[in-house]
Amino acid sequence: MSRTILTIDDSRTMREMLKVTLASSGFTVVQAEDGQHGIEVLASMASEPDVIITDINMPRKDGFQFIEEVRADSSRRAIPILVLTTESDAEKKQRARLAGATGWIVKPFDPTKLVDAINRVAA
Amino acid sequence: MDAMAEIRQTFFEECAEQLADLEAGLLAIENGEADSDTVNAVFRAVHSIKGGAGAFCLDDLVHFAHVFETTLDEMRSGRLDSSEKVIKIMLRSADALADLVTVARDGGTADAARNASLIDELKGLVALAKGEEPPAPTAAGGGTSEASDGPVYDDGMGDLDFTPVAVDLSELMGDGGDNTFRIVFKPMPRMYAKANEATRVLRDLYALGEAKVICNTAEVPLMQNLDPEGAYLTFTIELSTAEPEEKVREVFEFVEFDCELSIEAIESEEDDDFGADDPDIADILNRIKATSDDEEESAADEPAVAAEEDEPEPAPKAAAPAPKAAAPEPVKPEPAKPAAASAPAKGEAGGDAKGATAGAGAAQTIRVDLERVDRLIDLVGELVIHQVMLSQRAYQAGLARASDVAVGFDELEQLTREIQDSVMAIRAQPVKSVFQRLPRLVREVADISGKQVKLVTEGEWTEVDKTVIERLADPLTHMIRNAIDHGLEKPEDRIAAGKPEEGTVRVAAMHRSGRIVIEISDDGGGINRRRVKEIAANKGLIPADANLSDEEIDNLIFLPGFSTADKISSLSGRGVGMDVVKRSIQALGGRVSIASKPGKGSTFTMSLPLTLAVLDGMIVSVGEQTIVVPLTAIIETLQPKASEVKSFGGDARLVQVRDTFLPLVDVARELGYAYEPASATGGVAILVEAENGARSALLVDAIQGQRQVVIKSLEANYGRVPGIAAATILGDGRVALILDVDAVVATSRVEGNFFNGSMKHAAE
Repeated sequence: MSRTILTIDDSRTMREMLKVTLASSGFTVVQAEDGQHGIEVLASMASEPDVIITDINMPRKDGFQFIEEVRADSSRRAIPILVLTTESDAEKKQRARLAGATGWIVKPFDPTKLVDAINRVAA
Repeated sequence: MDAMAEIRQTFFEECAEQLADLEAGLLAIENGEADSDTVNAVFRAVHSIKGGAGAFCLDDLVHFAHVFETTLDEMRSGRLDSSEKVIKIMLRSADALADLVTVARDGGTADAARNASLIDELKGLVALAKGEEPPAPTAAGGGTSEASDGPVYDDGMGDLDFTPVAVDLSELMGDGGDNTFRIVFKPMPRMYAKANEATRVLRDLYALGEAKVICNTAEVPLMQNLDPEGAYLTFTIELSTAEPEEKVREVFEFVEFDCELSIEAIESEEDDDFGADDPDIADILNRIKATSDDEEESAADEPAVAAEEDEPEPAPKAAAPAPKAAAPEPVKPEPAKPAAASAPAKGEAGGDAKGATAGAGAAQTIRVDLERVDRLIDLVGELVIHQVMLSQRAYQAGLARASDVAVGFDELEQLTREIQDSVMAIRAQPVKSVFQRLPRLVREVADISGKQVKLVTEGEWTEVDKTVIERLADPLTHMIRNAIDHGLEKPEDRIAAGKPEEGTVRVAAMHRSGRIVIEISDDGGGINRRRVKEIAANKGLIPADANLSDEEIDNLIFLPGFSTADKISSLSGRGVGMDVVKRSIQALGGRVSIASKPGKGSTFTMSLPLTLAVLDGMIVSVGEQTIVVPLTAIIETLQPKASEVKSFGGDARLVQVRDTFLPLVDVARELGYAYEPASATGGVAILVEAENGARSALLVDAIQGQRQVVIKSLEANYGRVPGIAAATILGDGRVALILDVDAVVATSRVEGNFFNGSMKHAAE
């Protein structure tokens, strides 16, 4: 059974890029367009994703808020969440970490690194 | 790679949207209509462009976007005021960014000098923002300024980013032989709260080399005291690896602030019997204690942040059991047995991906290949024709008008019309996509011409066929250039004339009787008719003593070869005059007209069909045939009197229309339907004007009527036929050819070249 990754990014380019990269590595990809949508999609999923990859800067609900909301639900604390960010600066990573992110991926991502990062946090 | 090419295309489409948002947002800020959402959206637009550009290694674009984004971040955080000056720089930066996107997409070169100077200006703004308030280096976004306390965040983090260099380095260093590290790793409860797992960390360490792991369970309390969310285990790992320390640290990248960690290189020989005897372990445990004390210091900064961010408190020191402060809900039991620990997350996870995908499909729009839509439009056209044919035949066969079947036909007709309208609407798009490029154009033209211009757009949601929109951009651009360059006066002249310094150009789109009308008006000086007439006379376009009405003078500017600028300005004088504008509008089946009031300004009005798939035509009989003449080309129809028709050698004839003579084209002969010239007085002459302004009179037998016809290309199935533009199917099922007015007029003019001299003669 292939692993399911929920990707959340407001950029269509990024969503497509993630989808192509992940699909070619055998993952099943579910997409959401911002944090709020991510919450809705997550709620609608029949089973929880193996990993969530989320952007930070998004309209309606940003990545930090998304992560906090997911983590506030005790049954979802075990879902690994990776934040995608163009920021390589430590501050964004730390805020994401404090919000409950499992790890991060720096954009532009190298497909190998992306898959590595997923494997690193996925069960 | 196909997929990448597609994503690239998506990226550029998205860039276009983001650039539009960026500009709209900046303009809203300029007009004081912005809130924090606007500023965020503006920031996000640049941020997204940068993100995508990075993925495609568009370095110039990334660099510029980065500087721009940094400046916008200052604005977002409120350190940089959105003063007029600032917004002007940002608007110009948005333009430069758009250029860089274009260069990235289509090739070419960007204006490096301008970009460099803009980058300087943007950096200047950042410096300004920082200067006013001492730099808060990494403003912890939530406003917890003390959280940005250096060491915790910056310590080595940057080095742990995924950089290709790190890989090379490890390979280089790997040659030096194995390193041995002693790693003491004690997860804190909050590490598990973030879905990080000690077992995964260990798994990654195993992947690096040979690892011996000791799990110290000394802290595990009695069952009744056990906090399910607690963290009681300490792992001591001796790792033998070819990788450098950096690589080992990378394993802990995600968890290093949520655990107690020490990594030290040791002599590999020394501890061969590692873990075998108690003293060693005692030693290690001492080290753990020491380590945790060390960590305390760096960790001490964290709670400050943690408190703000609702972080569970760090685990108490090694000695204290069962941390009370841990979050109330059970996350996951402490992985007492590493091997089993990864099970919960995996459990149902592989699950029903299909259900998930279905749940995610919340898209509001779909993207469809244009060809499919066109095919649908085509088919609906056929449907309409067949519906009409069918009902006509039914009536011919004696169907009663009031019968149930007739009522059914009426309903069917209604339905097919609705389907046709709906399908046409699929191709329709708001003119917004063209209108949103205008502010930039106006800014640029205003800058170059030294005029102050305010652009007002109206009706940007007015919808029109996609092809019309695409082909609208050029004429519209040119007319706006003209309005600013020729229409508006210089600020000082405006003040002298008692007008506001800033001129206004208004662009409005609206639907009017099944067509789209676009008005471009300015509040400038209006057309200088004396000057226009003078130029036209000098260029030999009109006789010097011609007596023309104001309207006729205004329309002179549409004549080929007319250009009001004695000096070729860099703006309007790009080798195209209003005649080109007029021609491209006519090519779309449109018309353009002008209204001007001296001192008050001018209004250009374009009227275009809503779609290019149908055409308003005049149905005429020619010989035995029925043909369609596009209505937009027709000026008037008349029945020539014998006295008005002059024959010149051969078959060439001229018809007098008021004070001019025009070539009379016998359409039946022209298209090969007849050998003998038709009698000029027995038919109808249709005065047509080609796109280039040349006029002729088409002689046809009779006019049947006017109607909208669906255009069917002949070229696709048949090849190009001179004199014929396309075909259509009439309501009764007959095929009718659509006349190519331009071609027919051109032929008549070539054949009758001698007319020119005669015409002038006749006109005098």
